[in-house]
Amino acid sequence: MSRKLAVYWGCFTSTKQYALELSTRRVLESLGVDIMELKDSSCCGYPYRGVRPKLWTFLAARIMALAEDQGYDYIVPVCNGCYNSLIKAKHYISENKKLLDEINGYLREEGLVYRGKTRVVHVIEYFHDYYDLKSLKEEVFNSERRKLKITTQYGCDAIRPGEIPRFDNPRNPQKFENIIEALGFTAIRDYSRRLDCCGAPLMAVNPELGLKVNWLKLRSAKMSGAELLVTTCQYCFEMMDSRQESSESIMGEELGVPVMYYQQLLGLCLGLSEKEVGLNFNMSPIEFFLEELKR
Amino acid sequence: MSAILKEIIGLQDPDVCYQCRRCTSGCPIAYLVKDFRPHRIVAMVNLGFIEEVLRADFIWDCTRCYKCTEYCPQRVAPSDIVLSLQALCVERGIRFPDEYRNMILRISRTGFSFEEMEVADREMEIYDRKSLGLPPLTPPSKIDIVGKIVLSLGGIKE
Repeated sequence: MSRKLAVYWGCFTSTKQYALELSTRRVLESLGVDIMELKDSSCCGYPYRGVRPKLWTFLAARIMALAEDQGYDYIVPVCNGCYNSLIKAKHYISENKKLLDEINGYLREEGLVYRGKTRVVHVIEYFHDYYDLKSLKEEVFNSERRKLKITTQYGCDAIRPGEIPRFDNPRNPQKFENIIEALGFTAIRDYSRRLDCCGAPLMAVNPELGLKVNWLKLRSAKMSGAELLVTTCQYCFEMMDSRQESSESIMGEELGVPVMYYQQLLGLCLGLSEKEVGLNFNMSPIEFFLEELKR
Repeated sequence: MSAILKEIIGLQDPDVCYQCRRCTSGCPIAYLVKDFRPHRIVAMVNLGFIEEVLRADFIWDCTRCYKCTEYCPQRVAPSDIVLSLQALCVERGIRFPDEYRNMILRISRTGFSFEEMEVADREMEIYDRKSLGLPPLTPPSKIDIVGKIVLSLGGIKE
């Protein structure tokens, strides 16, 4: 059976977080999944949900209307922000007929129509429930990896607000840990700031505060005893990996937490090279983990 | 509570807040910023001190992580209130961070909020989409139509 997947890359991944796009592409290829590109796509509107709410709903509805138009039952946004943007806008529009008509008025100018039929699937949800845990295990599981302990960063946008239906329990999600254990690793399922924010949304208005939030979160992850932290969110990744050093210098204490994308970790387990999954872009100290993984 | 705020907030009702402070106790920003107290923001809005909150810098310190909303026993959404206050700030011209204006302009030209960047790796080697073998980014084919709508909904004149 050939598998197909419509992926929506979003702005941040396709303009900066190349490691996420690279690793996602290579991993899906290795797993035999054909990537269908969402044609004519644009920003999902998420940054404007506060300052220009209508612009947000229009841009989010546009992405889902494109998916409908191109015949996809569901799409996977690789970005946490895009995921939340789409499911929130969908929820919001479904409760407001006036807004729906207004948005469709704009979309019609481009020959599109929003019906709210497309399912929006999170990356973690995709591996857990669509590609499915059993197939993932058959493909990748290796019990020798059990000695390595890994913990997670879901990212707020994956799980909250929980009043909009999510792929997992918003107060104690487990699916991310499950897809890590499906590769053979031991998942650490708790640390004190596990479901907290990484501070990324503050970087535009109050970077120092954002970096402090990040440091507290990383320290808490470190105290869990994990040898690696994985995430699927590129905002969290940028904070926890690339800005870890800045956070350390603001707080005056080093942490040295290795950080990777889940797709990078999965790629390594599938036998892809470090370069193929873009590990040369990770700035956190991942060397030790990589050595342990090879042993 | 002011009607305009209510219209923006939409889905929930802040009036039922009984000040238990559960939102503040779990807030990662309240932990670091003395003035940022979600329960107090809700109280100020309920008591009608909207102008005062609008002019307070701390409303821009919210990370929008929605923890407060998730754990509220009354289903009040402090994070949505903060977002609505930000929207109101922009609408009234009190504050509209430049970054947003530039990003909206960029969408109207390219379809995306951010510019395609060259990125350095650990060895300080520079890469872009092309050198990494990633397909080129293209604007939506009807960007002229999309761009016009984006500018008008973004409230920006070119």
